[in-house]
Amino acid sequence: MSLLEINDLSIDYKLSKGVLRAVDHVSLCVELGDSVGIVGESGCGKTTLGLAVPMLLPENATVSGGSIVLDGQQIVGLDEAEISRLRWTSVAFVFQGAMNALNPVQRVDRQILEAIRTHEPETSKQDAYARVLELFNLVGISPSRAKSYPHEFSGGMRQRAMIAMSLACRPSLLIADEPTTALDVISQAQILTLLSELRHREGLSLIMISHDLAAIKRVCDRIVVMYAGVVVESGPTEHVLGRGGGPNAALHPYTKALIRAHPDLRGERVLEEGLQGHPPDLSEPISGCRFADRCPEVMDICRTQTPPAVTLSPGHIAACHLARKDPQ
Amino acid sequence: MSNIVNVGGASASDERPTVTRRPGVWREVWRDDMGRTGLITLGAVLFIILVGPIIFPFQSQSFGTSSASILQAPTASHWMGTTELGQDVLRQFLVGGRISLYVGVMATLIAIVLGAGLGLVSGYYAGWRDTVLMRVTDFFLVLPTLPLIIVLAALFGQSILITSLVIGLTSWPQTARIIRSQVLSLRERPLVLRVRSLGASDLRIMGKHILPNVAPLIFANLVLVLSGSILAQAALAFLGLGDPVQVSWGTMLHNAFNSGAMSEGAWWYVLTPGVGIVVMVLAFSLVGHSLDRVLNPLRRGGR
Repeated sequence: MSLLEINDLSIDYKLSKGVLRAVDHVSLCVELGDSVGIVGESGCGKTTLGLAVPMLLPENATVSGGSIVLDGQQIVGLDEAEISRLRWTSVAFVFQGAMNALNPVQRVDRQILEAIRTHEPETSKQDAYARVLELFNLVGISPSRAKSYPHEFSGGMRQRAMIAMSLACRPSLLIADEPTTALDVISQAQILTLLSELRHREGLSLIMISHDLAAIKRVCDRIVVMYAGVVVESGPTEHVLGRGGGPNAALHPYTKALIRAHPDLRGERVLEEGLQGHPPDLSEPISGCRFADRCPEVMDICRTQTPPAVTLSPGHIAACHLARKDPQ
Repeated sequence: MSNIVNVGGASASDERPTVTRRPGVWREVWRDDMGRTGLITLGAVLFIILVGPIIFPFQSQSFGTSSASILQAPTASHWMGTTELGQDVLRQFLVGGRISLYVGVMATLIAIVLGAGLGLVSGYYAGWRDTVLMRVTDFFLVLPTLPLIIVLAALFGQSILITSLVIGLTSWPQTARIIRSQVLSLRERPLVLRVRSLGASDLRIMGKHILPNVAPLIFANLVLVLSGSILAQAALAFLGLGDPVQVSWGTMLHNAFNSGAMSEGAWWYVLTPGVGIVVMVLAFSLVGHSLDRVLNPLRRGGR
């Protein structure tokens, strides 16, 4: 049984001008110990999908269809009290932007302590605090720095502290939303290494939301490419992105464009033209493929028919008319 | 990675208060010319008001016995002269300062608790609660405050408690507005979502996570409201709406004015409470503006 099974999930935002479907019939599966990377450009539904698992969606968002099954338990439709029991203990979320997710006027150890004590009121203060120090060790911050304020930490340390906090109640699934954004490359590398280590050492499953293909490649076994609220391609990371700068098996033109936009250090020196245009307006109905307007390989059928998901090789799925053996 | 160190010892000292102001705020105020002047003046005024009456106790019954002791110019026995009833001006001044400060502090506490509370609730919940509360705030904001205070004071009596209430209930809207706008931006931070995901109640989020973040703003506002309240009390008392038994600086001015001290040339009677009010209000304003400069993120860049 998978740890997390998302089936046909749709999420709508209620806006003043109408309804916007941010996540449209998305299915996703995370096995125990698996790490899945979700990529896509801004506004494609990555974060919304991530927030839906612990049901932390904004007030104007509703799950309009589908199911989320975490550890055998259906999450959609649970009431707030039941959900909050699962949060942090089964699934924890590492919020985007550590500085803004920490309370600037409260010491970091206090904030982690609060996380433990709110969830496990029966744990004594001493035990809880011992765990706080343990967590600091786990993420590689000296426990002597525990009594610091967030502003006394560097960006990388703040992100570590956020990861430490998310691990406070020993979750089995960690969802990290852009964990390396706004960090320098050295800190980025350290955070990514930390996440990989934690995953193997603590037997954690990981969903990493990012627009950084290199980061995903480094940490995740599987990659899910989202565009305009739908999954356009998913598969084993090495297979889809290519092994060690080698050829990739990416099929969807959007995935290809993402890979091209990310020049390889060891590759040929080419200046690629970026992808022109914008993702479609999701508050309007779209016929055919959502990527058709920007697709360099667009065909007639793309404008009229929604491409079905096609399995190319075990685990590698793409939703594109090009994937079909007999286009047209 | 290293082993856990200091597990037992670490929790022993964790009873320290969670909320501490940014270190060095007072040092920065002190470094500011305006702030330093204010702090020194304020220290002097508070010292005089709080310690003075102990050294020179005032008895309201100690009237003068002859016409010569009425409106006497400063002498060796009456350093600041006497009142129209032959009372010692200095002693009355020292005690009166306490009343002025007391009313100012009471009114400020009422105004700050109301303003910060409403601002917090309004900004945190947003939506219709915000709309309703802010329309009420706007209503109070556009009311001409002094005439309102005069009417209320005339209606409800003249004890210092009533005066404090009346001033407090009319000086909160500005604070509410300022706090609300800051809370509106704080509530959108991932911090709030994170704490809410922990299962923290609204009250706890507001009290433990938002309030400490607006505390500096509240504090800077408090000092400014305080000087306004002292001034309002003086104005009320001067107009004869002060407590006649509890003589404040405003009441002294009122008495001086009514007894014709001005035309008698009894400058000591008018000047003493007048200068007292000006200096105290000025001291609070200087400190308040300086604090605002140090604590207000919008103004911090321009130093």
